[in-house]
Amino acid sequence: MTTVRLIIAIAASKGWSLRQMDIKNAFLHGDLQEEIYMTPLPGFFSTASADVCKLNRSLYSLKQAPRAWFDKFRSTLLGFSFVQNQYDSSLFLCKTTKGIVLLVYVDDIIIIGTDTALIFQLQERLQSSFHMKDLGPLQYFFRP
Amino acid sequence: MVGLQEGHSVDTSLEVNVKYHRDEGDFLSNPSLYRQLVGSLNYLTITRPDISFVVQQVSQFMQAPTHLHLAVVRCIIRYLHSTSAQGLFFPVDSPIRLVAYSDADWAGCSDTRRSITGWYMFLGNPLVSWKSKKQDQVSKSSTESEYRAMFSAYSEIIWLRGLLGELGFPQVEPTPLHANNPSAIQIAANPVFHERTKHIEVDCHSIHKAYDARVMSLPYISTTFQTADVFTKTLSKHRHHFFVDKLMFLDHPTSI
Repeated sequence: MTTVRLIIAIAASKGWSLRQMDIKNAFLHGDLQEEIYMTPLPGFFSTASADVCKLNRSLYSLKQAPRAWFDKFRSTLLGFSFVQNQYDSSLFLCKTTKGIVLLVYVDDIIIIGTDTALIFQLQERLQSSFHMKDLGPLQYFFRP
Repeated sequence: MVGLQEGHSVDTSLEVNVKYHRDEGDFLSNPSLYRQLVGSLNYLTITRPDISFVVQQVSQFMQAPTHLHLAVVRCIIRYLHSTSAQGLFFPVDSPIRLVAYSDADWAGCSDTRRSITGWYMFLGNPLVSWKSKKQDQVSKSSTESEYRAMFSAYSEIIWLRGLLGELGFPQVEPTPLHANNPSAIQIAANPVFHERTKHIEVDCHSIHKAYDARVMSLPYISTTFQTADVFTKTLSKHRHHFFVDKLMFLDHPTSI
């Protein structure tokens, strides 16, 4: 949380814009490294069957779901020429442009930057990769 | 919530100069409520530095809370009730410069005789980082406990300086770490052998290096202005308000 306060303090001091986004069903985006099978829920097959399903994507309550999601999000951001920060691994910086900072806590994202147009551009690119919701200017942020 | 609606509001969160012990009062028959309340208060310390110390205090009794401890928790909630409009303030045009303060209360924990570390850091004007924590071993002197608190603050300074550098705000000047114990400052600044400090672990002495490399400076601050007090002990109403004011903790139009 210190990083969040630091980012807010800098943004406030410099008058930069602070935007917030939220990813819908974040954990469904993750790619699985392991082979995982599950017994289908009742009613999935029309007749009773002993078949099991192989998972292509991660699901909620899988123990690898958070990690699979973060790996996916991280590699997407690295593809957008972001760099993961060594002092806080949930902080991503884009140094090629006029400085955009992106901070992620599971599925809540804070974006700060000097250039509003660039932030919108980033938001559009993110929206084309994941199902996202733009929550507008930062108002409420809570992460344990 | 736990029968607090009719409670009177209070000015400070704890009584002054009262030490709480492990075994005083009758044990709660169902400690879950206590644990839930303290757990929730712990989250609140993310935005409420003024209750960091008291929450640290009540967290000590999670394993076997008594009725007396629950009364203290109620008192904290009542205090929050009457100050719910207060929040951290992040002003415009504040310089991006890290300033740190550290303090310690020697043998502050009456059960274990261990000391309590308190430090906090401003980024220019707003408060960005703070800590109130019981040290992990007993100190032989107040100097030693202060020195351990300075070491804890030093780790945070190194991390924050690195982070600020990455964000494009490298800290060129040494970061001042204010402390009110001249002996601890002397030990940190001057790598001379001291009979009474030879048992302190080698890692603590890395403060020397930071001082020599001008990463940190160690100015003295008198106890009157030592705001880190609010993270190591309970204060009188007047002092409490003075410090809360200093921490850029202001009344907000919206509540927490």
